[in-house]
Amino acid sequence: MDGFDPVIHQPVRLRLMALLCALGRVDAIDFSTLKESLDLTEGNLGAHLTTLENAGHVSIEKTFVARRPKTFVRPTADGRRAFDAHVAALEAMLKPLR
Amino acid sequence: MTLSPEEVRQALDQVEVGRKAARLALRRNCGHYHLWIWGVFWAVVPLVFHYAPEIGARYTWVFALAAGIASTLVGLLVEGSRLRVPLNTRFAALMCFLIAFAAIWLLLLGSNNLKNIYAYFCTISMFGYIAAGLWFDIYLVWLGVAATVLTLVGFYALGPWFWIWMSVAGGGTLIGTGFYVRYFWKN
Repeated sequence: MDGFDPVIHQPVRLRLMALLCALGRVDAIDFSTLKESLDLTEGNLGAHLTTLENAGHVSIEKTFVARRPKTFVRPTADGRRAFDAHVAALEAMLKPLR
Repeated sequence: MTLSPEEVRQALDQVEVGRKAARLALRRNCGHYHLWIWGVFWAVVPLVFHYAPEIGARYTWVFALAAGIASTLVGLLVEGSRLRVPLNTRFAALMCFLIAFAAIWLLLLGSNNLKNIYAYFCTISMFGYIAAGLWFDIYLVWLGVAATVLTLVGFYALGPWFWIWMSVAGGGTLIGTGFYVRYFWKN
């Protein structure tokens, strides 16, 4: 299965990558907004982001906005490519059945 | 790894859920706040012009506009703390040119009729909404067209009720769209 990525394929990570790659002109999204958007707990989101970061699919930036700590997440170029390839691989699996 | 067709469909459903969440995050972050601010502006200013035209012509316009611009800037800062969006320089340039040309056309037309000037600025700002809609999100096009039509109806058909109409229909359209985008938009 060319392009299939077992790291991305886990359901929560699939949703995460789909969201991050669909943000278009947005450069990065903050952790809390991501958590609310996907209705995840902090621990769950943090664990999946760490897995994606270790695989090089996302980059995580910790910074301060108005003296408050903020964590911003963005997909890497490799992560975007891997996600597109993974979705294409999934769609290709369904094609013979159509 | 071998997946059944059902598992593949479920995975593609997850992708769609993520994409939908992205669309909602964008709309919830970037739309309603500005619609509410400018909706209040559209609702309050015409009422002042209707009930106290002298005060309205001298002071309200400037204060309301300054408050609207200041609130918009604060809104942009708040939004920037959630989604980091790089400045779209082409769109920003388009808006600067629109404002400059609106001022030039106003000078060239030379009208000092408050109703004409107000309708003029309302339609110009709706042109800005339509441009933003074509650039970013189509709902702004429909909002711009609807508010322009409502402005023209008030201007040509409602005579002395123009200001009240602009407050209720114009302000209501912006505020209502803000609520729709924030709380009811589901896809």
